Formats: sequence, structure tokens, C-alpha cells
Amino acid sequence: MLPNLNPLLHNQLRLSIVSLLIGLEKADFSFLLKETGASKGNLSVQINKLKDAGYISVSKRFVNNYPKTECALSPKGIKAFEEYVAGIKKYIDPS
Amino acid sequence: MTTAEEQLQLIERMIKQSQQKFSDNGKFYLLWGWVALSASLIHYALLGFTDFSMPYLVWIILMPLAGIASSIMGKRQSKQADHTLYSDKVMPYLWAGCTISMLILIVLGYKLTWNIVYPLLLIIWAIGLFSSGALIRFKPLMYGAVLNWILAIFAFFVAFDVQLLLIACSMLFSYLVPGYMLQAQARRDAA
Repeated sequence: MLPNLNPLLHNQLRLSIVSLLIGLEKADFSFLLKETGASKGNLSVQINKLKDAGYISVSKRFVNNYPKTECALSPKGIKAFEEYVAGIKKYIDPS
Repeated sequence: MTTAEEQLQLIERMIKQSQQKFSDNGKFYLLWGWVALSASLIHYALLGFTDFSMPYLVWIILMPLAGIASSIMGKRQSKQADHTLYSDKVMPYLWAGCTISMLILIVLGYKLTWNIVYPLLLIIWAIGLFSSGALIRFKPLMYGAVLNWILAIFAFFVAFDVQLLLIACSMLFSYLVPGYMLQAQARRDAA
């Protein structure tokens, strides 16, 4: 366990979601489901946690009568991710 | 998940995964490639083998139709896409810029001569292809751009009917071949 790291990002699935979104403008639920290999329920719970923390924005719309949930990383989420990566690098190379 | 190395590996794997997904399935290159290949060959045939006085009409008819089809496809694709790369946002502006430049050249082409206009069109397409290839990190498009620049240089020194064949050659190797490669890549990604 790595202390002093953002606990919200210190979770495999939440970290996967944020890492996928960092290089994208936006991604929908089905893309995140496919790329993370998580279950629908778990993914939904973790997305909500990231949303509640203000790390991602979630928008819902209908395309051809099917609901589409799109997620995008917010500036707060980008900052948290950058700090998390910097923190991890310190553990790997303390100098 | 216990060590910092594992965390970093997970981050790297996810970033790589998201960036490797081609959101471009080659549709636009195939559409424009086939339309312009057909237009250039029909123009060449009408010019060489018939007495038709306005062989250039084929461009005036086909290109706006391709433009409409392209815009419908673009809207549909952006609605259906399951993820959007930052490059997806830049691409329409890049090609819109190329199209505006081409239209200016075509409309004011009478002030130059058509022998100059067509090589310049090849140069504009090369800029679009080169930048698109760099944005989506797909080298065949960049090789196509280099071919277009070479064909443009040749085109300055040949007759107008031969320029039409050079455009057909450009469409085949710079648009259709990379377009089919992108389509195959997109199918592999979807599998």
C-alpha cells in the first residue's frame, strides 16, 4: 500500500478510468466498459464517485432512441491525476 | 495493486490503449478517393474520346454531392462514436481549411491557367494528408502526401489531360490505399 497518495485515485478501476480519459476528449460508458473489462455495476459506481469528487463530468443523451452516457475529465481531475503520477514517481525514484 | 511500479504500469497501459484506438475508419478517404478518381478518369475520357464541350462538368456535379455525403457521414459518425480523441476535433477544421483553399483556387482558376491550378490542388491535398497522418499517427497518409508533392512537381511540366491521370494516381495511392488500410485497422479494433 502506498501512503500519502490520493485515495480516490488509489483504486485500480478508478485509476484506469482516469488514465483512459486523460488522452481523450470524451468517452462513453460502453468504451470504458470494454477497455477496463469491469462489470457494468462496478463501473457505474466508480464513475459516480469520480463525478461526485468533481474529477469527471458525465452527460447523458439519446442517440437513435438509445441512452448514451459520456464522460470527460475535468480540470480538477487532470490536476489530481498529475499530482498522483508525480507522487508515484517519487516512490519509484525518491531522488 | 500494491506497488508504485504496478500503478504506473496500469496508467501507461490505459493511456496506450486509449491512444491506439483508431477513431478514423477511413470512410472519408474512401468517399473522396473514389469520387475524385472517378471524376478525373471521366474528365479524361470525355476530353480525349468525345466532343463534349464541358467535360469539367463532372467535377461540378460530383464534388458537391460528395461534400453533402461527407457532412452527413461526419454528423452520424460523431453521434455514434464511443470515444473522441483530441485529433478528432482538429481534423474537420483542417480539411475545411483545405476545401476553402481549393474552392478559391477553382473559382479564381480562370485568372491563372488550369495547368497551374491542378498541381496546386495536389499540393493542398498533400498538406491535408500530411497533417492528418501526423495527427492520427498513421504513416501511409504521410507517404501519400509525399507522393502528392512529387506528382504536383511532375504536373507542372505535363499537359492538362496527363494532369488528370496524375490526379487519378494520387487518389488511388494517397486516399484509397490508406483508406482501406484504416478500414481494416478499424475492423480489427472492433473485433
